[in-house]
Amino acid sequence: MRHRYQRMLQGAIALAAFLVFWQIASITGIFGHMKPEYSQLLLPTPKSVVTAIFEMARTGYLWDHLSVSIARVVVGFLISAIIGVPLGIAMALSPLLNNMMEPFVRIFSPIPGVAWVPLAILWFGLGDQAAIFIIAIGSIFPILLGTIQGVRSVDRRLIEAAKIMGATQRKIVLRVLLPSLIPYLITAFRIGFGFAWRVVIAAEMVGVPKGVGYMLTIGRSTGHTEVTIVTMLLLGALMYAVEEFVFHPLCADGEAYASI
Amino acid sequence: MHVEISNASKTYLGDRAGLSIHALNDVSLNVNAGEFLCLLGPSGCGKSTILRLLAGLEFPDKGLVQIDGTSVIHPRSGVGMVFQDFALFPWLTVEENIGFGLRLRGEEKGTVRDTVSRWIDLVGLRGFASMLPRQLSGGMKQRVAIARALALSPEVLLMDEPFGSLDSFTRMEMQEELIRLREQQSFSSVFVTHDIEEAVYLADRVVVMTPRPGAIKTIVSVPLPHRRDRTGKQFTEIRNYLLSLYERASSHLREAAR
Ligand SMILES: Nc1ncnc2c1ncn2[C@@H]1O[C@H](COP(=O)(O)OP(=O)(O)OP(=O)(O)O)[C@@H](O)[C@H]1O
Ligand SMILES: [Mg+2]
Repeated sequence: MRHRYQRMLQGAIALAAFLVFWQIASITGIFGHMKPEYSQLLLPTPKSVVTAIFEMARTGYLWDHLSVSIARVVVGFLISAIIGVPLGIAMALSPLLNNMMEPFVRIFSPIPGVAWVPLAILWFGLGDQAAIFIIAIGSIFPILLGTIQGVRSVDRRLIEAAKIMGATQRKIVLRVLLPSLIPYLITAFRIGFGFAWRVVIAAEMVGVPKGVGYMLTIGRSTGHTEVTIVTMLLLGALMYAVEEFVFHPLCADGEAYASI
Repeated sequence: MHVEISNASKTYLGDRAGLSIHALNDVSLNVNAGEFLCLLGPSGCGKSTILRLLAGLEFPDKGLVQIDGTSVIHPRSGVGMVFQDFALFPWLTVEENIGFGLRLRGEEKGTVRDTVSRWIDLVGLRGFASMLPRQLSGGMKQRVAIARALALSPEVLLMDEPFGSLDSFTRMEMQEELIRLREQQSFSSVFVTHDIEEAVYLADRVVVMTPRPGAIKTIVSVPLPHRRDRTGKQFTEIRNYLLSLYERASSHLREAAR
């Protein structure tokens, strides 16, 4: 216990030193390299960042934009899961479908999700649809490939055991395949989710209105650099929370699931 | 149920061309209703292959595999199987594993619950009903696997080295258990083992198999009533006889290899 306390104290001291350094750099024109008015624009003081957090939370500005991005990610992600999981199962089970889909997967899966942003804006205009489209495209491949890998590595004896007990093809998929897939799906969703956030931020930065990506750029272009920094901190906190409270517990469950 | 294999041969085609394995050569065998048959033999002599043919998971290239006069072309009801490494569903609890087949059949919830609970008692797993397989010992897992197969009241139970991975104490306990279960519910059994003593302890007839290619060398009856005395005179005679068959076989092999 004492050890842990000590470690936290050491971390806190370093953090405090960093904040002091930041504060000094900000008010001294980055140690005399420029006029303090400029340096406070480029690097707002920690105090003004904290003030901005409370101010943005109070006016609802923060939640307005955050909720827009979350909604886009959730919808886009659901679409790619709804398409990716069944398609992955079908591809793993049907060599014909697999052979037909293979060239498309090979061509499209290495293309980074953000590369779809210009086309998406061209096709769907600057709005939710474009954002959802690229999120879906950006996260479908990890989900699809994870599902295929999961089906291929399902324990064949479990399928045989179910067959001997009289399971039909459909029951085998529902009662054996899907449960065996769960650990693979958790991993695939985790990767897909990371991709989804990256592309939605990129799309919002280049023109899709509202959302966290929009907050990042609007802070810069209107001279409210603290808004940009607040948004960065917010994204870090959000990713951490999702990892810690959603995927981490799920993975622990998934591992328990995977083997006897 | 009458099980009959006539002149069955099976060759597995290898992955690479030219590398095929002659797993069974001209095997004929029948299992009478209620009989306990042990397939005995060294690794690779085709014991599992025979079970898989009977289960409808594999088909012979030549010859016939029939149950009650019809060819086995897919897994059929009335035939249960216990796998060597249990093959329990890791995401289901003990009771859900045991009830798996009953639920597949569409039995009513109440019936499933009663049957499962009866089997949990019969295999001595009361108190473990809601545990997951990974929380159980090897012997307990095997009890679940046996209960899962028997809960469907099979007429034929196929068991592939079911006690192979258990320590010798648990193994003897499980052999006892199996005999007790057969007194409760009659079913014929085809039991794979490479433990000679286990075969003599359990079987009505021991099918002696030899490898390369897998074939039946002879069939030995064990006309002793159950609970058999492992140290008794007749028991040791039969055991020694089986042992001598394999010693001769392996010396032949050694000569052939020279
Ligand atoms: N699916 C398969 N593909 C190719 N060869 C196989 C396959 N299954 C079994 N064989 C081969 O057939 C032969 C008989 O195998 P089988 O599993 O029936 O032996 P076994 O008597 O059960 O052996 P063990 O005691 O080791 O389980 C072996 O040589 C094995 O390599
Ligand atoms: Mg085997």
